[in-house]
Parts: sequence; C-alpha cells; structure tokens
Amino acid sequence: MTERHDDPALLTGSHALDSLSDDERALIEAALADSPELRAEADSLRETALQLAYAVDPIEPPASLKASLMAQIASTPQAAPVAHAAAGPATAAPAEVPAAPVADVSGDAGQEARFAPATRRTRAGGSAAAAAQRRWFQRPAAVLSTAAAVAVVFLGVGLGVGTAFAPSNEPGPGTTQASSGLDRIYAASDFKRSTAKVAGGGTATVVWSNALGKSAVILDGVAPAPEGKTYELWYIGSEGDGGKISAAGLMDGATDGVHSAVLTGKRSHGVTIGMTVEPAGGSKQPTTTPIMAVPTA
Amino acid sequence: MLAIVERDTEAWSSTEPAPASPDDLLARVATGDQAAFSDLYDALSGRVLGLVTRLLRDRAQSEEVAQEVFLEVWQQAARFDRQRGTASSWILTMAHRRAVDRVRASQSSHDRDTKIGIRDFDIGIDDVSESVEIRIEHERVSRALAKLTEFQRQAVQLAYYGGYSHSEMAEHLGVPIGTVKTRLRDGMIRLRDEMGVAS
Repeated sequence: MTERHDDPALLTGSHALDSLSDDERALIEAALADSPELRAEADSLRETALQLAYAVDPIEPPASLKASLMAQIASTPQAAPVAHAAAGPATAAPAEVPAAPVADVSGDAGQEARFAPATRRTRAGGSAAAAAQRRWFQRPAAVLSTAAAVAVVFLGVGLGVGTAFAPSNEPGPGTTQASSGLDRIYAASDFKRSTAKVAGGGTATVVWSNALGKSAVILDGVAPAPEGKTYELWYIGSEGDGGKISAAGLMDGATDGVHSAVLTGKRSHGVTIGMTVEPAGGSKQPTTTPIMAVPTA
Repeated sequence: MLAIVERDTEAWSSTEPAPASPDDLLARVATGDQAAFSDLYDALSGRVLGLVTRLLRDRAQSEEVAQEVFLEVWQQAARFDRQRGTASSWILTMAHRRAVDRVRASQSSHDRDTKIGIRDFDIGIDDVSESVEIRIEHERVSRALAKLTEFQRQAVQLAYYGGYSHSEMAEHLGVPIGTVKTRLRDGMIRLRDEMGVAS
C-alpha cells in the first residue's frame, strides 16, 4: 500500500460516491480544475454512481408532500442563471414571484451558510469554493440559506391570511413575518404534518411545530369559498381545555389549486385546527360547522 | 395521488399531449413555470424519495429531504447546465448529496457504529420491484457489482447506500483510510467498465 492517500487523484471514486469530507472535496475540486484527465475520470465515475441510484426502488411520496411543495414554490423566488446574475427571476416568471432577494445565495457566503442550520458542518472548504463553481454536482445549492431569505418575503406574497386580524394589510418584509413563515415550520426539528379530507372536496394538510408554536394549513383542490364568503381557520381547544375556540386567520383567495396559510396567533399543545365558511371579513366565533378539522397532538 | 396536475394555473395555455422529458420540464421550471414543476415532480419524486430513504431509512426525515431537494430544483433550475448532464442525473445527484449530509448530521457516531454492522447495504436484489425498468436496472447493477472484489463491493455499497465517510469506513473495516480510498476508486472504475459507462 502506498501512503499517497492525500493525492487527489485517488479521490475520484470517493468523490463520485459523496464520501469525502469538506476538506477532501476542496482538495479534489481544485485538482479537477487543473487536470482534464482527472476531470474525465471523475465525471465517468459520477455517471457510474448514478447507475447505483437508478437501481433503487422508487417510493411514491404522500400527496401531502407535493401539496406542501406546490404551496412553497408559489412564493419561493428562483435564483437567476449563474454567470452574470442580474438579480431577480427570469422575466417569463409569473408576476407574483417576488423579485428575488437571492443575491447572497449565489455567493459563497450563502453556500457556507446553508450548512449552519441543518447539518452543523464545522467548515465548508472555503478555499476551494471558487474552483467548485463549475460543476453543478459539486455545488448542492443553498436551499436552507435561500429558505431563510425566502421566509422574509413569504407572507408578503398574497397568502391573504390574517388580514382581518393583523394591524396592517400589507406588512413589509421583516423578521416578524419571517418568524411565522411556512419555511420556519418545515425547518423545525419537530416538524409534523397531518392530512384530512375537506367536506365538499379536496384535502387540507396541517403542518406544525410545537417548538415554534406555529402551524399552517395547505389546501389542495378545495373550491373557492362561495361569493361573499371566506374560509376562516380556528384553533379548537380540547374538551379538557374547556373547548375554547379562537380565530386563527382567514384563508382568502383559495383557488382550486394549492393554497397555504400560516395561522395567526400561537398554537397551543394538542389543539385541533378547523376551518369553516364565514361571511366575508370573518367572524369572531365560528357560525357554521367546520368543513375540516385536524387534531395536532 | 391527488390530481394536482389538473389545477388551473396561468402560464398554462399550451399543453402538448406528449409527455415532456425531464430536461424540457426543467427548462420550463427555470422560467417560473409551476405546471412544469408539477410534472417534473411527478416524474422524479418516486426515485428521489426511494434513494433518500435508502440512506436515511427514516421515512419522515426522508420526506423532508426529498422536499428540500425539489425546493432546490425550483430555486436553482436556471443554473442547471444541460451540457453537463441530464435533469434526472442532476436531481438524483443532489438528492444523494443531501441525504449524505443529513445522515452524517443526524446520527451520532456511536449510533452509526452499532448500525453499520447490522444494516444491509446491498441494493436489495431480493426485493420484487413492480417496475420492469427498475428490475432491469437492478439486474445490470447487481451483475456489475458482482464483478468487484468483495472488499471493493463492500466499500462502494457502504459509501453510496450508507453514506459513510472514509474515517467511519476505515474504522469499521479495520483498514487505513488510504485503503478505503483505493477500494472506492478501484471499485468504481471496475463498475464503470462493467457497466459500459463512457469514460
């Protein structure tokens, strides 16, 4: 056995299999930039590793996963094409996609930041960051840091929830909004979800985090509220709790597609989340039978 | 599955009956096309969740990672370079990388030390897959893996399907880290040649 194991040329197999540490990855990526032969070997082994992926049995995700995603992307800005990022999504993007505050995401600061919340990497190979720009598979881009940026604009984007209760109709992006966003709930360590049918058609998925005291409802395929009516969300306390019901915001603007809203107010433990049809503008207490109720134990 | 695809969305006017390829869908996703994203998800989410679950085992965590992957697809679609590979390989590579990140972050080393001995990292050739396509792929990969030495095969499977790092594998297998690297590289080169991947 030779002891040349810090030779980057020996790392192509490990690189393809994602088994390198950040330092080792930095080492080989710098070497790949300089050597077309090494690059060719690394690419072919990466392609080979993909065959291992294709041999794995697919698992059909639950429908709620797609519902959550569709709701999430509806208000998630997209990164500009890589080279000369002129900030902001492509012009063909639907109008409601907000101008993207993603400038930092394309930079290395964003890349390194992504490790912080979820994976606790100690370092992220800063020195080799530049060399690593060239191949997509070397840069699993910055979802978490982007999500953080996104959370800031999240509630500004026409979810139309809680307007009856919030002091202002058009809250500017800010930390208060960010801290109640759907992304925060998804990112929580105790993230949970539950899906139920909605009377009259469609499904409602409730996602919540006890740690955050927050929850959100994602409607999928639920018809818009009748003319002059609105959907209103409620916290329904358990009977042991006196069964107290408190308003949790309106779900305006629901279309037949996917629609989400973060509930206003603080969610207490074991509460049931319900939804009723109320006169436009909402009610202080429900006036009709809930069309959906999801316990969040 | 919910028929989410059916919902009406703006920017949805010209729908061709022929199913678009993931590459075409991704190109449309890059322009903010949510309907294309929906189709792309339908085409690849099963593979993504399957792969991530192979590494993480835990279903809830795997679903979270799959969701992160697709959110990243949405965000980064414009940066995908077609010259560099297909949309599905881009997405599966991303999924694998994220699953590895998660597996390393979420398990204490003690946990992994105990698990490494009992978990089974082969590709599950005994599973009866419903899809002919997957069964054929299984066959191909299993046949190619069988050409590796036992040490190479073990290392490749621990790395790819287990998400283990060099040092974890070195410790578990009782060999120097350099040996692990060599086994991985030699194993992958052998696998490549057996599978006829262009080099």
